[in-house]
Formats: sequence, structure tokens, C-alpha cells
Amino acid sequence: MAESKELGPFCRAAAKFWSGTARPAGDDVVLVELMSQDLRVAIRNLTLASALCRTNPARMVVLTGTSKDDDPRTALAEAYGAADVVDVHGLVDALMHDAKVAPFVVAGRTVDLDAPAEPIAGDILATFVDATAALAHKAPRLGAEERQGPRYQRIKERAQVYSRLYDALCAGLEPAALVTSSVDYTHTGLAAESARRAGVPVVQVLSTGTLQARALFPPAGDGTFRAELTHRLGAAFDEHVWPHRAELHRRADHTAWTNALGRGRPASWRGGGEVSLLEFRNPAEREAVRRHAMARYGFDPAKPVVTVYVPDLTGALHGTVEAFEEPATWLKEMAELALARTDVNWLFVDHPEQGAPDYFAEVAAKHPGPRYVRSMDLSKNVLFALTDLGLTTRGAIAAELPAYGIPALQAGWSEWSELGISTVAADENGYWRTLRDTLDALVAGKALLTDDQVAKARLWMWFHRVATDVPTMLVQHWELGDGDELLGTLKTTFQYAEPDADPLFEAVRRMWTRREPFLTRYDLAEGPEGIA
Amino acid sequence: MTVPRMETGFELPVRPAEIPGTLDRGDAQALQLVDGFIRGVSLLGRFFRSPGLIGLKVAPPSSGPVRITLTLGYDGATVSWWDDRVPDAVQPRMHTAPRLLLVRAQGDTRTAVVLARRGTTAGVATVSFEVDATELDPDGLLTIELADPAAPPAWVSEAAAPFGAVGVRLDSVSMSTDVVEPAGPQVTPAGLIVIGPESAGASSWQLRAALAGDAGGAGASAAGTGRTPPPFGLGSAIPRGRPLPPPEPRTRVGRWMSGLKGRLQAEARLDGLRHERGERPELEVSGQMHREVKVTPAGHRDGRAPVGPEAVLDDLLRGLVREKRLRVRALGLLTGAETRLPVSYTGRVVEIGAPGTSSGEPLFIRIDAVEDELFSAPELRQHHVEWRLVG
Repeated sequence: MAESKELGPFCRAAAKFWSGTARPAGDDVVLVELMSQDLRVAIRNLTLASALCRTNPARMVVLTGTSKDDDPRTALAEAYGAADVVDVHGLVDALMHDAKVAPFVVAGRTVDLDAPAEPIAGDILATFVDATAALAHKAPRLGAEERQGPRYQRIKERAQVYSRLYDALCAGLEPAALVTSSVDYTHTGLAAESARRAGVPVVQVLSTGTLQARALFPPAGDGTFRAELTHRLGAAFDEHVWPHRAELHRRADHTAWTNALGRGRPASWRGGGEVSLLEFRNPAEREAVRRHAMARYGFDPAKPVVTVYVPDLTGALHGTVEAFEEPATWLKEMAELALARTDVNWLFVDHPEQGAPDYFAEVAAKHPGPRYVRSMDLSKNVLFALTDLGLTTRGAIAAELPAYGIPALQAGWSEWSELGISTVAADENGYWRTLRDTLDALVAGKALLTDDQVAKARLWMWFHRVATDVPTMLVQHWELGDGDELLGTLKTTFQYAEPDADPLFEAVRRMWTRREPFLTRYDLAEGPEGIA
Repeated sequence: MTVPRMETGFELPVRPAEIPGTLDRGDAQALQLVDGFIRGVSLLGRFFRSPGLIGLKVAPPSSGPVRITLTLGYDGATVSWWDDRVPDAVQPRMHTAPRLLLVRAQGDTRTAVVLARRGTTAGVATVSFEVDATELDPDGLLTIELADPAAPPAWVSEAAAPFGAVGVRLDSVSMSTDVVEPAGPQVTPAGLIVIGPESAGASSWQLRAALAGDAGGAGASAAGTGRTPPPFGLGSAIPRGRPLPPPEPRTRVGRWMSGLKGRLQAEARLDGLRHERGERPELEVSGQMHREVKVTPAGHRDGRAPVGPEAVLDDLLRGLVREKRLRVRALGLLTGAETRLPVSYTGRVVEIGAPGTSSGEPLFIRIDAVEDELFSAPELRQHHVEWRLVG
């Protein structure tokens, strides 16, 4: 972040706020990851950890990627009262250079890097390395040549050291929790992985909304963080939300309405503005737009349109259960299928922030026939007017389309994939079989979506945007950005507001004591009576 | 079958647009849906993608045709929006070039329109078409789309920019059930014409070429400044939208040499000699001729009257038509059929014969010269040639 005029005053105000009665001290340690450059991420993590320390008195140990005193993250850690700061990149550099590093003391506890700990399994480490390398290479899949290259080897060697360091920190500090913004890639994901194996609860603070977090309390299963969370979210939804669908129905419809207007949190696969409006209201209006849209792409009006939503081909690979090892394989095979199945119109829409745009272009060039478009070249009005069936691997579109009556099939898991909103195929054979049946049914004119699925999709939209989003003055809405406007606003909070009964503290206390997989705005156990 | 489920119970009722009536504000409720279009404040809005579409909620009359008239604008923002929003891979950069747009409604192409501006003067065009009341569903929308012609031939794509709707202003949409005499074809200064289906039945069209500096012409004010940049020159070999090549060689001698022939011809004409002079001219003109020059008594030589630019233009056109170097080509905007149209020239009026097989489809016509006389004749550099439809 650029030079900030507000950072200093903000940090002074924050230090006074948190050093008062806001947070009792304790002997436990909470690890807080502060590796991101984005101050919004850093502030969210520190705030959530501070709230956790109120419930479970502890000292914060910050994991950061810098040793510079003038780094904003160092200043923030100090302002929020961190007991100690660990320069992860610095330690990893030292360990890469010299395998023997003397034990060091963090927050009064000794961390011995040579103490035997059961190291991470090779295949799990490899998935983190591959995901990181794909991002670094901007390559959707890594060939033998890339795997032999110095860059890949360096990522791999560093990953081993990251894992060793995080294992040692978990063993030496015995933290009560790890608060992190990311569970992917080597430098952050391996911390979550070490914590999972050490039986340390992992809280992931999401980079969206006001304050949203997911938590994985031990015993964690064998799956990845995301896969495990899918189970827990599915179970919690079935227990606390779906039984209240009658009371919540109006609220869910309201969220579906604000989403159509492009208000509230923008859909993750595109930003706000005119391109994100969903303005037709009934089948006749959709048909009016569809006639034009079909002509634009030269589609046969007698056939349904199947839209293939291409995910970011380099983003967080292997993060959860997927039918295809790499989304790039899925894309290529979908393009081949599109050439063979001519009883439907095919539209391939790229991810708006595609990490491997060349690969998308390459697939398009090799498989002419279907239409390939960049996401932002289409308005949501046209996209939803065209789409009769949406296909994706794990994209949020699979939860959004059904909220407006359009069925979706996904080749892999997502947060919501146990809710029954979309059809989910978790392995390759199952996917092809399901896809074939779905396309046949679509061509035959059968209805692919039930009323319950529409209701669930809208309830999920409400649940993840409203019920699990905690409004607190201690952070601001993500969309405010990470500039001086944010710091100035928070400074005012810290100067003039009292922390007593901030909704965040109660939300964190509930999550922590009940070991729930998410923060909630209200007490789910009490039901949604009177929340609207 | 996929049936959308949009209803949430929170939708506010939309007041449909009355017919007759005009929509000219982007916050009108009846402008219910947009695609590639940004709603305006003191205008309906502006397209930022091509094709772009709007969906209007209208209360259809019980029967009969509804005439819909769009007022479109081409201004400075039209140019800059095109340059900013059209992908860099689209070359050449034709942001200042005229725009040829199909006007589509309810899924069908109704007519077309060509938009251009001269210099920095904003261009405004109206285009109208009819939809039948039976095509308008009170539950549905009246859709109006501006789109590029599909796969235009090179002589079209070098005269009109691709992604033509990008940056185009939609000032208003008027709807009327009255029988309105549709506006006749419109022609851009650079000789691009769209003949709507209403006029497609005509057997011929008559145009007059005029100098933008004509006192009686619409371009008088522009000429008054004496500084209007060259428009898309009629017949210019320079593709529209590209920067002009360096006008002259770099060296002084080279400049003098390259302009020699043209100057000699021009001075010969000015002198009324109507043939080339053999000797070096006494008067350096070099394309900077002002209108004063032709009326300066000094210009009279041996009692012979000088030839004004009008006469030069007349002469040029007569020669171009006689030598069949004035090309008039037509593109059927539905069928994609290309035709070269016959041209005749009498009494300073160019008459273009309509294609015999007119099927009532909108036509795009481009007039240009095989070589670029009209652009390079020294007398005309200052004034620019513009085409006007006279019948």
C-alpha cells in the first residue's frame, strides 16, 4: 500500500482502544497470519483474533512476511497489541540457507525447529506445491518440464521449510487457534495444514462482506479445509436454516432481489455496476432479451443454451474435492463434448479474472464451433437470459443460477455443495454420466430444478450474505477499500466508540464455545424469530 | 425446459411508457433493462458495448403500427469511449470513423443508421421504424438493439468503425401511433448513406456535392473558422481513423517538388487558362489558398475570370462520372448483397440508380472516387466536399 497519512493516527487510536479493557491477557497463544499486503485482510484477522482473545484470554503472535519496522503490517500488529511477531519469510530464508537454526523464543515459549514432529505427508505437500506453482507459472497444469525447472524446485523446497516451521510453531507454542485469511498455497495454506494436524482450531476470515469467518474445530477429518467445511456447512444448514424456511422465506427473497439489482455483495465472479444487473422479471421479458442474444451468437433458437462457466484455471487448485484433477482438463474435455453434442447451443464464459487467459484462448481456437466469450463482454441480463443450464467446477454461479430458476451442475465441491442447490458430481465418471442425463433431460424439455432447490438457493444466498456476515464497527465493509478512507473511519471508531457488547464479540464467543463452523449474526439455536 | 424464477415479491411496479410519448431520461422506470448501455441523466443513455440493447416497458395500443424514432448522437465522448473500451487488438483504431449500425427491435433488424461528425461538431441522427401493436406484449419488453452488420465487405469496414455502437449517445426514444412521414435517407458528409426500408422502393436518389465552405451550406459556420480539420475525405485513399500520413516530404526541396504539379494545375485553373502552364508559377499557392485569392483583382489576368472552387468541383465530378471513377456501392444490410450502382451527373446533381432487385431491405451506400482527387485538389483542401441528398 502506498504512503498513508492515516496509518499513524489510526495505529495510535487502535493501540489505545485495545490496550484498555477491550482484551484481557492470558497465557494462551493465538496465531494470527498477516502475510497479505492488503490492510483490510490484516485488520480483519487482527480484529477476529482480538475478539477471540476476549473469549479465550490469550496473547496474539503474528505471523508476517516481513521484518521491516516500517511495514504497515508490523505497525498494525503492534497497535493491536501482538505479543510477538514472527518473520516467516525471514526464518524460511535462514532455514533454506542453513538447515540448523537455533531454538528461538516466541512470546515466552521456546520453538525448536529440530524437535521431531511428524512431517506432512508427501502427497499433501505436493498438492500445495502444485497449486502455488500453477499460480506462479500462470499455467493451468504443470508439465514435466516445469516440474524440473528451478522455479518449481524452489517452491517445493520452500514448501518443505514452511511446513517444518509451522509444525514447530504449533508444537512449541501450542496455540489455542490459528486465524488466517487463506488456506491455500504454500505460505499460508501449510500453516492451516500444520494446525489441522496438531489439533489446533483454524479460523478463516473471508475477504468479503463486513466480517465473515469459517472455522474448523478438531477433530478435523482427512479432507482439505474446504472439503471438511463443506460437510459442516451442509449439516449446519440442514439443522438450523432449512427447518426455518417458512419464516426465512421473505428474507431470502429479499436477498435474491438485492442481488439481482447488483446491490449488496457482488457475485464473486464479477464486480458491480451496470454489467451486474439482472433486470428481467418474468419469462416474457427474458424471452424478449433472449431473442436478441441468441441472434448475436448465432444460436439455434430451437435448442437450449448450455453455459460453461470456466473457473480461474490457476486459482487454489486441489483445494477441495474435484471431479477433475485440474479444471483445465475439464475445460478441454467440455470443449470436445461441445463439438459432439450439437443438440444444444454451447456458450463458454471465461472467468473475469482468469489467471490463464491464454489457455482459454487456446481451447477456443482448437475447438471452433461453440461460442467463447470473456465474462465482462456479457451483461448479466444477457447471460441469464441465455443460460438454460449452467456448468462449472466449483464456481459460485452454481449457487446463484438456481436462485433464479436456472439449473446448475458442478464437477466438484463448493462451500454449499451439500445443500442440494445444484447437482454435484465428485468424480469423473459420475460427472459424465450425470451430464449426459442432464443434457438429455434438458433437450427433452424436462424441468431440471425443483421449487425446493430454488428456495434453498435463495436461503443460501441469504445465509452466506446476511446470517453469517457480522456487522461490527471494528472493521468496515470490504468494498470500502484499503486506503485512508478505511483507516480514517476506523480511527473514529477507536476514538469515540466503546467496545462493550460489540456484535462481533458475541458472535465470536458463540462460534468458539459452540464450535460452530461459521460466525453468525444471530443465535441460530434460538431460531430466526424477530431477526428482520 | 428452463423457466426463470425471477419473482421475489419485492419488485416495484414499473410504469410503462405511454404511446404516444418520449423517453429522454435514463431514470425513467420504463427503461427497465439495459445491456451494454449506461443510463444517462439528461439523455436516455450511452452505449458502451456493441451490440447493445435496451428493454422498454410499454403499454401497447390496441392495434395498428407504432412508429419508434431514436435520436442518436456522435460526440467527443463517443470517440473517447470507443478508444477506451474497444480492445486494443482491434486495428486500425477507428475511433473517429463514422458508425454504421443496424437498428433491431423485437429480435428483427428494422432499419439502419449511419452516424458521423464533422470535425469536432457533434453529429445527430434520427432513425425511425415501425413495430406492430401485436408485437408488443404488455408482459414483455420492447427491445431496441444497435448492432454491427455481420461480416461486412472491406469497402464497408474501411469506411465505418467496428464495434459501432460503443460510445453512441441515445438521446431519446419517441413512440407514436400517428402516421408519420418517415424521415428520408440521411447522408454523412463523407458520402455514406443508409436507405431505410421506407425509401428502398425509390428508383433513384439525387445528391449534390457541395463545399463545406459554401455560404448556403450547412457547413458555413465550420468554414467560417477556416480551421476545420479534414473530414473523412471523399475518395481519400487514407483509411478512416488512422492518423494522416505526413502531408509532404521532409525536405524543403522535396516539398517544393512534390507540390509542383498540383500547384501548376491549380494556378492554371485559377488563371482561367484551364491547361497546365509550362513555366514555374509566379504565385506560390501550396494548398493554403483562401477564398480571398479567387476574388483578388490580382488574380485576374488578361481579363479572364478566375475559376472558383465550385466550378472546380463541378469539373472534377463531371470528369469522375464520365470516366466511371466515381464509385457508388451498395450493401443490402439483411442479405449482405453487394451492388455497384449506376451514376449519372447532370446540372451539378449526382443521380444514383437504385438496385433493381430491391427487396425492401435497408441499404448502405458508399460514394467514393477511385482516386483521391476530391481530397487532394488544392482548391478543395480548404473547403472539404460534403454530400447532401436533394431528392
